Amino acid sequence: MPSPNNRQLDIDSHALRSPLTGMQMAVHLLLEEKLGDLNETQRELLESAKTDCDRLLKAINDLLEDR
Amino acid sequence: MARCLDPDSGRFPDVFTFFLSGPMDILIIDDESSIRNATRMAVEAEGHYAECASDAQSARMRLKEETFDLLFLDRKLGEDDGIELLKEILEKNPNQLVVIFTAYASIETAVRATQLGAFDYLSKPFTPDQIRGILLKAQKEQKTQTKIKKLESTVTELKTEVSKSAPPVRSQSSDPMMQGALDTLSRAASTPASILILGESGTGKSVIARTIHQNSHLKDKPFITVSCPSLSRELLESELFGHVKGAFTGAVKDTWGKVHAADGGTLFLDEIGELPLEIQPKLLRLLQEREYERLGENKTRQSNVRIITATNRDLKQCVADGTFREDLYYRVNVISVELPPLRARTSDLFEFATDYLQHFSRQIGRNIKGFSDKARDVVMNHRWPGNLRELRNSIERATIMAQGEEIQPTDLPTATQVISPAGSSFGGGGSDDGACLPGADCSIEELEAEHIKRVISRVNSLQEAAQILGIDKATLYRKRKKLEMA
Repeated sequence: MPSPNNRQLDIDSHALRSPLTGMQMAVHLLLEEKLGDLNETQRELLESAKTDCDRLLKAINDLLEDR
Repeated sequence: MARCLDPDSGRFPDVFTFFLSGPMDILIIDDESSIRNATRMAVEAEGHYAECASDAQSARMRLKEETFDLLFLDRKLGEDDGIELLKEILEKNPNQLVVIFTAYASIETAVRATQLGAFDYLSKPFTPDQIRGILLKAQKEQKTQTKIKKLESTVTELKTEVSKSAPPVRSQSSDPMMQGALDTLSRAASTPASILILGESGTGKSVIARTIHQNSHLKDKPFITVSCPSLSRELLESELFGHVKGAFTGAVKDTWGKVHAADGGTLFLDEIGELPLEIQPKLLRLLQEREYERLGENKTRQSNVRIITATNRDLKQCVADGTFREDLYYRVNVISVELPPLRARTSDLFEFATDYLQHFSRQIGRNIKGFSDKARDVVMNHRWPGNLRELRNSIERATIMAQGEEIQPTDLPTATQVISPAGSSFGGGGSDDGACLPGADCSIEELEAEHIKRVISRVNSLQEAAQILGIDKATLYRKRKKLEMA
């Protein structure tokens, strides 16, 4: 049986990582141009979004590790 | 198209891996719509079929209705526990491939899932590349499972062969016309060309179609048969292309058709001449564009099938009559062969009869060595309008009826003993066992007695026999008395 602390950690982890999954998948799929070609501006914006996703993931991991 | 590393070998996969393995049917079970949609897009971009379920209940329903090659299942489905659903799924189908999505902090959850029988797990947030890695791994696993299934089915086939329930298939011929047909087919088998097999009913068109498949590069892929005349137009269309729930009255769930089942393999359309005109453009499109839609659905799907067709009709005449599309005719008729009727294959006829005799005598545990000379004459002189099918059934009957070590004329069905335009059923002389048959050395009175006796033996009443004989019951009674049969 997980402790109340661990259970809360699991809930938080799910709540933070799940929305990030949809975002990250969408950004990667678009950048791979599987759903259509991108122009330079679109690519630049998506690359920034991808970098932000990576930063956000790192922040979430650090936050959860610290607990 | 981006390519990802094979998770096992660490190398880029063979470009033919996908085509050799074929597309998979995948169900994505996740309560987050963004994850469902993005995963579905990643899966479909790789050429697989994907469906989604947003909760455990709808996933259960879909799994009850359909079979899926792979499931992506979220560890936490709102209020529902994905692990509990995993247990439920694997209890019903231990071979089901399930990949768990987990966002949990600890690795224990994932380990527990794999211990319970999950195929793999993905930690959130994942990427399309990771999804592709899983798809490749699943295809490999599926291939292994297919091999196991194939081995199991080979064992079953061998068991069946041992029990001698199926007569042998003779794939060689000493008949020049048949030799020509077999030669053409052996050259065409390994190509993707559509093949049209023509021939009378019972000439072995279905057996030849299966032989083509087994001698082709697709031999390890499915061989699916659709019999065109056996279903109504709507049911045939659904049988071929599948349908979605509500497409027509009685369509209570989504189904995939035979075109989907045959994907990557061979689709054999028997009696293509009976294919309704309304379905013909759809088949043409499948042949030309490799595209189709399920009934009641707008989504275009792809299927790569090799088509073999057969008919006993004159398809060219059907085109002239307007019952068969000309463009479809040319499409299915890339290679065509005509199987000669059995009566024209005199050099093969007796060999077939002997094969069947050996088969059926083994099957019923009798030691019947062959045919008497007169029985051989009957076999050789009958016109066999039902071709191989009729021959097989006649020899099966004769094997059961035979009392000695040889098949006698009377062991064969009466129809085979009727004199044919090709010649007498007998070469002359009387019958072996006292039976008098047309053309034999016997009087008209003996012939009449034999005929009456045989008719009476196969009907249920004298009234029925009198009707067949074309006399009234009182005349039959008098004749029986006169011929000392009563």
